[in-house]
Amino acid sequence: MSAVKSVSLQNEIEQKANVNLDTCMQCGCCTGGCSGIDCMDYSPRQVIQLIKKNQRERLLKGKTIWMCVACHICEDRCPAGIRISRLMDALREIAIADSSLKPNMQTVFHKTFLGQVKTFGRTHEGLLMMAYSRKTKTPLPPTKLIIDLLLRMRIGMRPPHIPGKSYRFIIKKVKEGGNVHGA
Amino acid sequence: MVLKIGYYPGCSLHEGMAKPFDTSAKLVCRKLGIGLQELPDWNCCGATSGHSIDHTLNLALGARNLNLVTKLGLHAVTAPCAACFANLKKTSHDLKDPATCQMAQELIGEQIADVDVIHLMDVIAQPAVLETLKGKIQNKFKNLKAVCYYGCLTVRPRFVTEAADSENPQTMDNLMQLLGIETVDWSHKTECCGGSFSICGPEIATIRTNEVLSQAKATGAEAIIVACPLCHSNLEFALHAESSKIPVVFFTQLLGLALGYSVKEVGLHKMLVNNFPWIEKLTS
Amino acid sequence: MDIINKDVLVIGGGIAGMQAALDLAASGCQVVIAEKEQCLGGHVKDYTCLFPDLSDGSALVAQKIARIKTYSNITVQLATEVSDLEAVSGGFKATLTNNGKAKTRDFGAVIFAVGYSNFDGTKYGEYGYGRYPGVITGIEFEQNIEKVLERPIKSAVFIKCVGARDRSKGMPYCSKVCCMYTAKQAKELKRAHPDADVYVTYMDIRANFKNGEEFVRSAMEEERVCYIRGRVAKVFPKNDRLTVRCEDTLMGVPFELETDLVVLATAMVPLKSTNALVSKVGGKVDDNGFINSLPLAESSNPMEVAKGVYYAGACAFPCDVRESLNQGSAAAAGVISYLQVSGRP
Repeated sequence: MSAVKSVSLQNEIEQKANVNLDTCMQCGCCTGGCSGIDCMDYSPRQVIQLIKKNQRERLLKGKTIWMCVACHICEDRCPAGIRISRLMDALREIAIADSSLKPNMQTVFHKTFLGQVKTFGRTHEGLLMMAYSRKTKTPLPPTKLIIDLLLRMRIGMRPPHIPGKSYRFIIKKVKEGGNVHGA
Repeated sequence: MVLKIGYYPGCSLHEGMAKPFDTSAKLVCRKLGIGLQELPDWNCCGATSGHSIDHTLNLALGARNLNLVTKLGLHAVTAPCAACFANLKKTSHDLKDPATCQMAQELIGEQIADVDVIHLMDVIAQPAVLETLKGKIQNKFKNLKAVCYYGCLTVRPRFVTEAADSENPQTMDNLMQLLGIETVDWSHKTECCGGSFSICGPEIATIRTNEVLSQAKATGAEAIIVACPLCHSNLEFALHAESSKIPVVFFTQLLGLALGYSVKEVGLHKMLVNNFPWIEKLTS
Repeated sequence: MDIINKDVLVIGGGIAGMQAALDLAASGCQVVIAEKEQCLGGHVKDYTCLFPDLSDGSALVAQKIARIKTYSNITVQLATEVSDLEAVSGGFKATLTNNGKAKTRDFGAVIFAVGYSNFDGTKYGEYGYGRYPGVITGIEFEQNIEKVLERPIKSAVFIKCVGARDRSKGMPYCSKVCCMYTAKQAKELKRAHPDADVYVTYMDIRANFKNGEEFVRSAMEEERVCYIRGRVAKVFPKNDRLTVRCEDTLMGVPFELETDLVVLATAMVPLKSTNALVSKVGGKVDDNGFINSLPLAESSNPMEVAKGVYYAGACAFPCDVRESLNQGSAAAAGVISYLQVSGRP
């Protein structure tokens, strides 16, 4: 990694997320409060520094951006007021547009979720769980829980929503331009 | 006095685990003179996945929902679900930028007007509505110690939610205190439960949910009061796995009980802990 | 323009104001000190172990008060606020209010030495100030030092920059003196509890005073105060103690530690309403509420705020004790030359 400043990734992120990364003091308050830190490889503070060092590969192929739970604690406390959540969104968008990206649990979930949204206009908890479980080969929740939920009629049984024309219009518009990522 | 406002239930309240949140919210609003008008053919707000990987779709989803409010002839919308509230409010905030607004108008094919997005807690906390509430309380709670859990999205980020305090908010606590509930101060009011990562990243969500629960339990609280369907299911399911007797309930359910609705009407019998002595805790 | 009345009003009886009054009186001026509290001394009377000779603030204040008493041309008005100030032909009209009774007096020159307040620690809800008894501010540490040092602690964490260098919910500036007094407080705590783990969490260490760097280094190297580079994210109660959540940015490792005492070095902030009086007499206040001096090339004395108006001390920007004294003398020099030049032939 070179110590010489290179601005290409920094410019891209700053434009996408409307942030100024040079206001970062590297104080680490974001990392101290981060809800996803236990499962990240780089901390939010390191992510900002890595962007400035143009470390695209490390960031886009790393775990951090996918383990960010979007709790916004970082940006709420950041003394420089950096929109770190928006920065993470920007990195995720760039990552997912990269076809060489290996899928992981979170990308499969997000794509499955949005796939259902685009089709039905709304998500259906049962369908979503089953589709996700099938795609990732993860087990469904414990039987006792499912039984208790069923007994208390907490699981929606009705068929999925069928969206109206004005909704199908927007989906068509999104597909025509802007970023649509498979699923 | 009927205050008319757009109503956005969102996917979880409409059909799923959090249907009791929707039911109790509607009952409470009816008694308080809040005229909820559900947005016709509303679409998903995008939840976490929308803003995480598809900024354009996310904008379109939000803009269409806000436009549905305008089409009803209204200028404000409320959502009980914290995530839906946060997404709608963020879109409303983003649409103030002319370039974003222009893009959104092309995506939805409609002119976009300003729409206020207010969380249901804050609608009820308006002075005029509070006066109505105080006048209509039929039962107050006694000997009920509970913690109010706001989660992330009812309060953060401050520049979007305009929350007065994102570390130690009081809105829900104040409402519950009016009902006679002893709300306990605790440190994790706005810490994250892990959200949808309980499904797609349980390794982190379990840590977060357990931390919130351990701090809640350390206060000696008998119940956890929430304002978000995902906080609700994450906490509820974790407690269920321990066979815990602590119920996790929506703030509108307790408002409903105080306003005279029955345990069944507000859906408290549908909670995983369905044998909590709610009636014994109420006085007339 | 002839100055009709050459009395000087010093607003504030802290060390800056007292020093200014002494230098003015020694030069023959008639001085009135208007002090809003019941006694002179401002904040410094509560400071202990003044850097660098570790003398007591109350001793310094007592010395100034004793010297003030020797001058018949210094009138001290305690429990008195300056409720209004006006520039009039030949000087200023000040309304001094004491016990609800207001009296107006003429002055030839005014020195603002109103000092500072501290940033409200409750604005940082994540630190639990006001909620958890183990969390105090640096100024409270100073004011209750004996009690604080008596607390049986196994660990303490000092958090710097609370309300400072924060564009989001604090003040954007650096409060200048916190690094030094935190090092001092950490040293004192370590001396009182040699077996305790004492930590200072910082973003930077600014020790730009004479012997400052050496002092901070000695806290680390001799008292073994543990300095960790990281801005604390959260303080919360757990297991009957306090847990501090932070990142050690030099190691790149987030961590939690259990502690018994958390001290917040809260920023020095301006007293906005008093400083606003300055605008009534041609002076300017900056975006943060601090008094602004005139641009250097426009003024004859660096403490000059407007014609006949001067400042001294923390009302213009956070400063330490020595600097307040320096500025008090400098303001007095400015007033003396102003009154001589604009006086009788």
